[in-house]
Amino acid sequence: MSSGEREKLPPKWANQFLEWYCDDGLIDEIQGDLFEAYYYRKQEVGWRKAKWWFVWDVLKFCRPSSFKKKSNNPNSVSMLKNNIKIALRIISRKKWASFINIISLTLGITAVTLISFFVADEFSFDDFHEKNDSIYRLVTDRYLPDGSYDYTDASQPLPLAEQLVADFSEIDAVSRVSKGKRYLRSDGNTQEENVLLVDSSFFKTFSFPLLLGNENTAMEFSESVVVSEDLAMRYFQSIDVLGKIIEIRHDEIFKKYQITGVVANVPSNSSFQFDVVMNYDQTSYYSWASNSWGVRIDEIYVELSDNVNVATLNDKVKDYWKKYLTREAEESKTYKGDYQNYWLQPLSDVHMASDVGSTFSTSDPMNSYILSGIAAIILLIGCANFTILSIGRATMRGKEVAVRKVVGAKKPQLIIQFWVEAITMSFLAMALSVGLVFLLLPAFNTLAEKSFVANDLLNTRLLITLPLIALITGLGAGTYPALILSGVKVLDFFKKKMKLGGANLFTKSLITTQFSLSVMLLLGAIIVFQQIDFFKGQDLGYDNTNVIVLENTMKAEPERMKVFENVLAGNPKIDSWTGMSSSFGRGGFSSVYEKPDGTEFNYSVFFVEPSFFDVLGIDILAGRNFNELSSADSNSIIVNETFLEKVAGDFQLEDNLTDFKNMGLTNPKIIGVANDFHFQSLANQLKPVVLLLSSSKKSFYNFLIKTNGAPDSELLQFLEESWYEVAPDSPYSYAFMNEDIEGQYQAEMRWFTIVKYATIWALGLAILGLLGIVGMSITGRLKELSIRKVLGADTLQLYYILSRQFFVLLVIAAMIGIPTTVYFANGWLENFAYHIELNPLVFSGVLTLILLLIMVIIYLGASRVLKSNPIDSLRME
Amino acid sequence: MNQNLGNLEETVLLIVAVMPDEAYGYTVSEAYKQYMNNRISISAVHTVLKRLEKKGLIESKMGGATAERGGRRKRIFEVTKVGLSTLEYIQSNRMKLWDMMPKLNFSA
Repeated sequence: MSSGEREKLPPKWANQFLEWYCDDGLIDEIQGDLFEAYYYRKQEVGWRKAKWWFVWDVLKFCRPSSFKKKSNNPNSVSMLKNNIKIALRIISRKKWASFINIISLTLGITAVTLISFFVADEFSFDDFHEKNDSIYRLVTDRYLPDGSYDYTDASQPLPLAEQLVADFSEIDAVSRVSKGKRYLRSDGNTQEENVLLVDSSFFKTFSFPLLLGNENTAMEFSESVVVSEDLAMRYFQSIDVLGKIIEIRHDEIFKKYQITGVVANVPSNSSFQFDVVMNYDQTSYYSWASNSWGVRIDEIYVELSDNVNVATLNDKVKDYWKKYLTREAEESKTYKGDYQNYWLQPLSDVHMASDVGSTFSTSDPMNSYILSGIAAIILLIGCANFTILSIGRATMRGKEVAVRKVVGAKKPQLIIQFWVEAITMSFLAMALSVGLVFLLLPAFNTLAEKSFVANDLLNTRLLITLPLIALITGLGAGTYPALILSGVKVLDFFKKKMKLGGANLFTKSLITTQFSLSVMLLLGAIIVFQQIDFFKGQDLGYDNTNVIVLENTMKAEPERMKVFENVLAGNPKIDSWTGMSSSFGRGGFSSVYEKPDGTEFNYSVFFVEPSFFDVLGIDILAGRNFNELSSADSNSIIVNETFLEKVAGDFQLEDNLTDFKNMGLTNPKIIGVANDFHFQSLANQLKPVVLLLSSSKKSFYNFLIKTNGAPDSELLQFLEESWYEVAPDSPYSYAFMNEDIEGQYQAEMRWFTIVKYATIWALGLAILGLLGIVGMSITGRLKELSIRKVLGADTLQLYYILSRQFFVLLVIAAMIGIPTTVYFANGWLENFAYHIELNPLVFSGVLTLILLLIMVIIYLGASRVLKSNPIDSLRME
Repeated sequence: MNQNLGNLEETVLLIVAVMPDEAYGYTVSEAYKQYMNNRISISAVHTVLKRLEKKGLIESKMGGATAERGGRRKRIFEVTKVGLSTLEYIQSNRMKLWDMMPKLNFSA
């Protein structure tokens, strides 16, 4: 019964819609007519049809003539228009102040925009995989015997992957992934490329679309590879390369592979960056470890089935290793706590997991947070400038506000007016910052190690983000002036009781903040620069100028190296050469020596030839060089001074180092002492070094060539040509040793650039703010200054009166800024074993510089008034 | 007497004129359907009625509510003197034309 009744009523939603839009004066006739029509139609054509008629009629009535009349709507629109018009007038009337305002906001918005690109990119890593939500990486938390946490890493034994799919029904597919660099060759073109070793399910799990080839079968054939679009273009000038042959070098030998697929270029926000993909099973690279549970080479990525509870699965996976790692399981019984725990990490967390040991490049989320902080500070300073200037102009605007109030403006309306003004300016600033962003993009790319392209950035996200940033900036910058100015009491104004204008406590603290930030950043930039300069100027104990470092890719064939050395001997531009286990700054072996008294120390080992000392200008301070012809020297070592000091109590020159068993040497004789040399970055303490005579050139990863004078292009060409003449199958790769060494300080150089830009930014904003406030305080005190002038004050005295307050602010800023800088700078310098001491002279120098800058700016801002005829300003009324 | 009336307006005006005390949105649209053999939506009727009222050809008052109308009142329209004379004016003009029609059939 009741349902039958309900059926007879018109659709509720349509009726509600009608009541929502329809004006109260019209609802009677419209709704009444429709109801009546529905009532009769229901009997005539049935309720279904009548219903649709009703809906149709409601829609047809939905037009402006039947809408609710909002009496205030047209007025607020025209007020908005009027407010914008007034804002534009004020901008064009006060050009100088508006310029400072807009530039401040532009700098703020630009910084925020650029940094938001960076942060958005960081957090978008690996988002493009369609199965992003169901892909996880297997990682391991490792513990120490005493039960404390040690570290987390992602590398796993090779046979584990296969067992995972077999043992867990929750896992749909699994792919091992590991990366490496290999030389590729095609038509004599040899280059080193990023290679990814994966399992055949890789392209099904991850969304790297194949442009050519079949994702199911591309990895199935033996000796097949998938290459990137970019690599195909570089080697074959076309992407149509299916079936073509490319040679890949492994274990010193080039082997032919057939291209069975071309993958679209890898997005820059992918954790895996590669140009070549090979299959674990189809290459023999890791066959020696394919059944070993002890060697950890690959990372394992699993694809979970739908509706799998990851928390539950994690519980099951946690101790799963005990099933296969029997030796470890036994060992774990002696541990106080856990031995190791497996868990699954979502793919989207992989990029930001800088604390998980991985071969793929990760990023510390702290960088994003620090940069976001910098962006916020810059934007705040920009807004602060706006606020300072707006408050400063309060006297001028006070009259307008008072008059508006007399005519009947309410406080909310005035607040809206000032907000609209601020937002208008911030939108003008936004337009400017778009230009600035694209101008600064190349510099920003180097700084952030990204490769943003202008065209890619002009997307909908930017078109939404940018106005949003501008709107928030405008609202933020306009709030304080809006609240203050709209609160002006009409009578106070006309009684000249207004105490705004000039500098109040709020604007003073804003300026002080700007000054102290400028002091901090400027000092920071100088300290970082000094440290880098110190690194470069330090005597390293060896000479790396005019030394070319070659990658010794023919080390498997020592006979060829002999031939190459003969070629080198024939070139007069070459002074000397030497082979060594690894060039400085390129890693090497290290070991621990236990002294007879039981104390241990860590030392580094280099395999060298007698010519080592000559090429690098290292002196043998005592004893003698190796003699290649003496068989005794195969059990001799040369140590550096630091090593000798460490063992001084027990051994000296000509002694046999007892309990030393390493690299095939047993109790070797110390035949010489070389001077100390910094083979690592100066961030590290100088290490004890043991030099060994290499019995075979097979242990030389690098080949060092000292040239007479700076190496020229002719010599470089000669080296490459003769290299390939001697060893056509060994890729040639060279570097300059001094550049290698400078490369160690890349991180510091990058910090220097960041601090440098931040300094320019902050200082620029502070100068703009200061210029503005000086102008304001002069306008406010024009009469006072003129009267002082009439009474006999000279320019210098007036200048002193004007600038006095700013010097006080600078002193306060320095008191805040300097201790903060000292604290942070000391923390940073602690990272380096060799570092500069903070120099008070630098601090006073920076303060003097900023003081001078302030004096100049105040003079620039005030000179017109100081020189003007006092009558002009006194006669104004 | 130079009110421009459209075809629809003229018809609706006529309907209002012939339905004293009974002309409102729904009844007018029903009458239109009945006499003109053509459908017209209620919203269109409302528009025309409003336009005619603005031109001063009809006037309206609120009438009583009925149950079928969900308790809503009717806006009842009545033709004004101007409206009536406009209709007569149009009609007389038409008649003049009709009178001039050659009556071929009758002169056989």
